[in-house]
Amino acid sequence: MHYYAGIDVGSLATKCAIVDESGNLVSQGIVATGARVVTAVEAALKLAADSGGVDLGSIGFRIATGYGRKRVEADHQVTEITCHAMGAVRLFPGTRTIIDIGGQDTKVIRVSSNGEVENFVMNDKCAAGTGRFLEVMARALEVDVEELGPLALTSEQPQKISSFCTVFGESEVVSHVADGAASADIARGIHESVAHRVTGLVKRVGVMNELTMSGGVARNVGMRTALSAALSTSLNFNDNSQVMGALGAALIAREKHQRGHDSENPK
Amino acid sequence: MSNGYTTLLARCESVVADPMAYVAEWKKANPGGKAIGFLPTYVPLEPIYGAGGLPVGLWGGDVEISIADAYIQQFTCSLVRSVTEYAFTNAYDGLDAVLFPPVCDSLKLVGSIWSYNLAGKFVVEMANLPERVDSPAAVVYLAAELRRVAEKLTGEPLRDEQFQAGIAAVNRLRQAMNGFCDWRRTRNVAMAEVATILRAGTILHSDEYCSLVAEAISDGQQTVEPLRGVPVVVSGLSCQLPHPGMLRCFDEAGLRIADDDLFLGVRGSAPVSSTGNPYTSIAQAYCRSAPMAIRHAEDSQRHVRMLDQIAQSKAKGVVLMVPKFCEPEWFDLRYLREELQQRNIRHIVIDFEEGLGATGSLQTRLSAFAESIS
Repeated sequence: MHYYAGIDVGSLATKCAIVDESGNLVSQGIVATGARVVTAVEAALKLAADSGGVDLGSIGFRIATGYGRKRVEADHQVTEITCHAMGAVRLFPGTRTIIDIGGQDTKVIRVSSNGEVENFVMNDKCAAGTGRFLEVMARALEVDVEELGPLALTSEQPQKISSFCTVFGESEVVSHVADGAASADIARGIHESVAHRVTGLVKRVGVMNELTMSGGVARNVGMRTALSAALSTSLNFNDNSQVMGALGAALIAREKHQRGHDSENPK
Repeated sequence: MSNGYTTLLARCESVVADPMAYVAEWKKANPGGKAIGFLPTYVPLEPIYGAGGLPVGLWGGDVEISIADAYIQQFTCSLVRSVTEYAFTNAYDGLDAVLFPPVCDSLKLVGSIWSYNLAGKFVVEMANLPERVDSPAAVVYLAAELRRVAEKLTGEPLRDEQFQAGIAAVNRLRQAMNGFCDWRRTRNVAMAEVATILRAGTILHSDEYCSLVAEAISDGQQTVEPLRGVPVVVSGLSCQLPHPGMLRCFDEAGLRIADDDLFLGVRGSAPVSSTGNPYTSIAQAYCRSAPMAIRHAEDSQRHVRMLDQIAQSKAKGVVLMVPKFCEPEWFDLRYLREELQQRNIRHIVIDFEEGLGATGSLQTRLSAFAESIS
């Protein structure tokens, strides 16, 4: 049995997905990227292999993606935009628009029914509308970033965060805290601020259903709720959304390997 | 690449790295000759060459902005900010005059700021170009404006033979720049090198430049090789230049810039006729020049040229480069996108500034675009 691995090196997390010869997701591994990309890649790969009972030697082809893809020893490198498209359509075949909110950038991708990228946009150079924005704001509120989303859902009177800039936004959060606003209301305002920013990006490529959310921020229920409200539509999401890019990379690895195998052994 | 190409590139890199060192070298060899700086995208070079002068293109650069911010807003394009930084830090002190084409609000206003504050360093003059160029009145107006500017810069009317020499020099220069563009389209030349060589054409004296280009492209005529990368047309580079590192990102992303509009203001003008009134001839040539964001003509539109470039180069997509805070390019963007969308031509919009910054995001966008059109 051959397996195929996709490794998505993001700014905050390194994800690995392993698929079998039929393209089924066998296992996954997620570790913090930290300062050593190579170490993180090895750890994510081992975690995925161990949890799926896969011998590393049986992985026939590896594709690296994500911002750190060039530092990974792999058979091929593919951008995360192409990989997210492939992974999203595999998990949710009706996907036509993908919102990928990662640690340091946000992408909106329009895809065809077979997972080909038709159009995409990315946020500008700053951290506005990204996972990093949420991290900084969570720190200002003194809550764990994992708690920020559930906290926002308990809000009764959301506080507006008008600045897109992470630095100015943090100042606004501090001001709200100083004014005695409830943490839940500030958290809701933070998510709505990001949602408005991302909605602007989505409208640049046009909203086409179904929408699927990928990337680490997809796990944040507050973000999904705020985005869904801002876009007036539902969003596809499941527990594998964070590894969508890695899954896409693994599927491309499988496709490339099988195509190469076919061309070496013509019928 | 041939020895001729290596010689051309080395000379161009040296001149682009330090244009004012070249100006000093040229002045030493041409005592009394005037060096006239000019801002993008188009000014009439013929009277300058005719008067025995040297036109020097000022295209800014990746400089840390400090003094310029005291005079102009930070939401001005990076070209205007960087040339202003150079001017106010004495980097252009070897110039005798600077000619501004006030084709956008930024250039118009900054020209006045230079004129007011740098009067003791060099003459600052405006060449007010018509925006609408498809009427006979545009030619009449521009001819009169060119005469006014030329006589202000040269101090006295040019003799006929001087004018003819200037026209011939600039026609040769454009021919050399366009000849180089034709030559490079059939070869794997790094785009950063192409930009350097074309930029040097706006600094080096026409005689030397034409000679270097002729030798480079004749040496390599027999060495056509398979072209690498996914071919794309790039638009939006006629005024502000991207950092060479940004152009290298295209190569690294697997994209080949099959055609472009780099330095179109200088090289895109039709050949100037050597007969008739020279000012009218120059004005007619400008009004018939290649379409750019700063000019409008119903019978010569940007998308038509772009579609022709796509067809000729078999490009698989278009990269619309838009300088941040550049009103003319941003005004054209929507129209260009609509024209491309109507024809299902894949395209991507990249906004940019002169500085390089981190290239990771740009690299990802260009690579993803290459993957999606290949």
